[in-house]
Amino acid sequence: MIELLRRILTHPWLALAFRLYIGGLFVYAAMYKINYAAEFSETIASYRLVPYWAVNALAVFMPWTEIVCGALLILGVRVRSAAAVIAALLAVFTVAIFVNLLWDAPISCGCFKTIEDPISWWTVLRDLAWIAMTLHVFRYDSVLQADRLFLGKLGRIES
Amino acid sequence: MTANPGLPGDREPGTGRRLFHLKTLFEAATELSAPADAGTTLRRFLPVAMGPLGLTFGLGIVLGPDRLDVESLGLMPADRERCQGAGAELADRFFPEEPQAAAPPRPTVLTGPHLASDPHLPAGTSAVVAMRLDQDSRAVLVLGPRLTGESYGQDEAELLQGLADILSTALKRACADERVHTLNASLSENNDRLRQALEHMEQARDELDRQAFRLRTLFETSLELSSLNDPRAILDAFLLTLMGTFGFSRGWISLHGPQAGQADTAYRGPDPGEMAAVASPDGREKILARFVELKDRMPRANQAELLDDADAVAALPARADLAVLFSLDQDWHGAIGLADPLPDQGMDPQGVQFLRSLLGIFIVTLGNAWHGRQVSQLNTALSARNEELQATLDALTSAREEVTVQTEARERIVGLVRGEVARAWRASWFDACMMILAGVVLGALFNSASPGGIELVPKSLFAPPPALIAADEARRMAEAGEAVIIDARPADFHRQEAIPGSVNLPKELFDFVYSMKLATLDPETPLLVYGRTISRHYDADVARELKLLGHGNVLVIDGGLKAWERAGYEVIR
Amino acid sequence: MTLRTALACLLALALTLSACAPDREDHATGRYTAATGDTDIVLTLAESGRGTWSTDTDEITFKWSTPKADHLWLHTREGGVIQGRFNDGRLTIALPGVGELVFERQ
Repeated sequence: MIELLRRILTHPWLALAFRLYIGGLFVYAAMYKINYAAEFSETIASYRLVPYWAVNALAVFMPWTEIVCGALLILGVRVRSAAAVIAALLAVFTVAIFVNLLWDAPISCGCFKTIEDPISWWTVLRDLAWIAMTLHVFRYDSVLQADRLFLGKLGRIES
Repeated sequence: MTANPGLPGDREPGTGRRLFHLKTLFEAATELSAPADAGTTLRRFLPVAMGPLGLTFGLGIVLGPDRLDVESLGLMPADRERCQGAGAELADRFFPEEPQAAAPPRPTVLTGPHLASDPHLPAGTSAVVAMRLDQDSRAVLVLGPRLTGESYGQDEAELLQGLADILSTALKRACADERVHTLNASLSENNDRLRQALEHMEQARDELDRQAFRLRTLFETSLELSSLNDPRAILDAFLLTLMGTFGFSRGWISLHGPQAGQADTAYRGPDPGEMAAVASPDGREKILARFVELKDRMPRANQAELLDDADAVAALPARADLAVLFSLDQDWHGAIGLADPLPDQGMDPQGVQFLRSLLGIFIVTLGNAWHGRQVSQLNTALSARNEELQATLDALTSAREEVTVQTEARERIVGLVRGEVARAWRASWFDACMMILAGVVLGALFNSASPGGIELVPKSLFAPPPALIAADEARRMAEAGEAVIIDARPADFHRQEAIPGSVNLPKELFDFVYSMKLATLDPETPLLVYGRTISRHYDADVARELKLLGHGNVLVIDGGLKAWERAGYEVIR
Repeated sequence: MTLRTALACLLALALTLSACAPDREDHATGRYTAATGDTDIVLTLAESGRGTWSTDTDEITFKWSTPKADHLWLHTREGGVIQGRFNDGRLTIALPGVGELVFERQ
């Protein structure tokens, strides 16, 4: 039973599902932020963790990094690197939310849209779940990767 | 010794006889005075002596070391032959072998009856006269019986003695004459021999001269040829030497190699066509054919052979009166032809020998030069091959280097590919950085192009610092109703905690809220702005905006809400 | 593998398209007016996603979207969001510090 569970939990198809989910999530989240960069910069500012001179730049660059990594995850290109970057971003987000929760800041997450429900411990849990999924992808993902499709043959080149 | 019967003698009977004897002597002397040889003298003497003495026969023998004259008169033929056969023996009997005195004595006259019966003498011999003519020659006179049968008288003996003297004298003279003759003949013969010897000597000297000339020619030829290195020059020089030495006005030498076209030729003569003919492949064939014709006499390596067959000489490619075939080795053959000899220039055996000697020098020199050329050609070929080899080596080296480079490049490429492939599976700092970089680049590009783009660097970073007001002054002014306190923070923060009586004018909603709440405010009313976090200078931004909208008195509360709280002023929550 | 790849590509395309789809409802476009005390406000929502907020003294441009049904967001240039709600043909907009403004559709 545990074995079966373990097999299910470590199955590449599960990793694929997580990969597509996380990838899609980031692409979706980034789309809004890219559209409304000013709003995202206000969101970042509301967290009160980034120095004021870096807020705008971060608001411009971060959504694009998210969308790039999300797209790579979906396509299955450099999955591990992309998953690592996404996991790192999620970790940063989680820490930021955690800190603001401690500060009892009256802010919303700003994860997808500007106006959302205020941050809560659920938000932290959700982010942790996403991190877990990303790590799962990092560890177990192996199917439907464009890399394997194109580079797999190259890997068999005899030296 | 009887009286002379022929003289009348009364008073002086002896006188007549004596006169007669004298006459006889005179006649004999006269008769014998003419020079003659011994035989003739005897022959003349016999009749002169026999007549006055009245003899029946007479026999004279002259005996020399290498002569024997026998003359007879009135002798029977049988006796005559016998006497002729035994002449020498007969004469010796009267000359005992004794040492001769220096001067020959007078003739010895023997008379007596014993002589008539001597078996060695003709029968009836009455007298024998022995004469020594000189050291080697002797003469014997045998006289037959007298007609009268009488023995010799005193007078007659004297007469006989006189006659013998005369004869002896004549014979001596004849012998001397003959000796003189013999000496003369011998002298002239010696003269002839001497002349012949002189002639021989002359010839020998000529021959010697010729020999010397040839030797010198040989020497000069060898010297000249050995100073030359070019086979063609050697051919030319040798041809000149041959023509000059043997007197030919035209000549050629050709040397042919194993293939047609490899030919060296020298030619001297009026017809250039002959040179071409000699050098042509056809000429080569003709010359080689002569070699084959020679069969076992075919010249081997470094040998030369005279062509003595007229047909073979005529079959050569160019005219030749004298032709030689020679070989340098089994592949290189040549021929020499000389034509149009100058007059008086024959080819004697010694000349042929000389020609062979010259040919020997020529072949050795030519062989040396030819081999020198072969060696130099080989050297040239060798150096060329060396260069080729070097080039090949260089090419090989460069090819190997190229192969090495290519292999290295291939390994590097393969390594890169493998690294890339391997990296694709694992997390890589490089890839992560590339993704972030891609985000940065895309973000910057999009932001600069998008109408909703924002400033990457906030204005408040470079804007002049706003005018400040202390919290207590602000409170005083606000409580006095002289100023309006404005909270520039977002609404959520304002709701959470704010200065009492402050107007929330969030920076992000500035336009809307201002138009609704502050548009009607007197521009001179002091506006005291607060609200600042680490991430945003809301107060400064809003103060700037308010100034832009014409508010002259905009101040930022120094320290904001925190200073307000620290001062112990109330805060609404 | 080709089928899987095609499926994955389709999925990615669908996600992207859905993400790119404008979250705007065309029925919201139009002209709204509100009167608060002495100020008349005219709100215009154009089809292009742009809009104007006009008062007697000001005309403010913004972008608008309808993230949920009956919800209207006005996106200010400064990065703020003003929320509104359609209710019985009326548009209620809550402006921080000002309060709710009720717009009538013209």
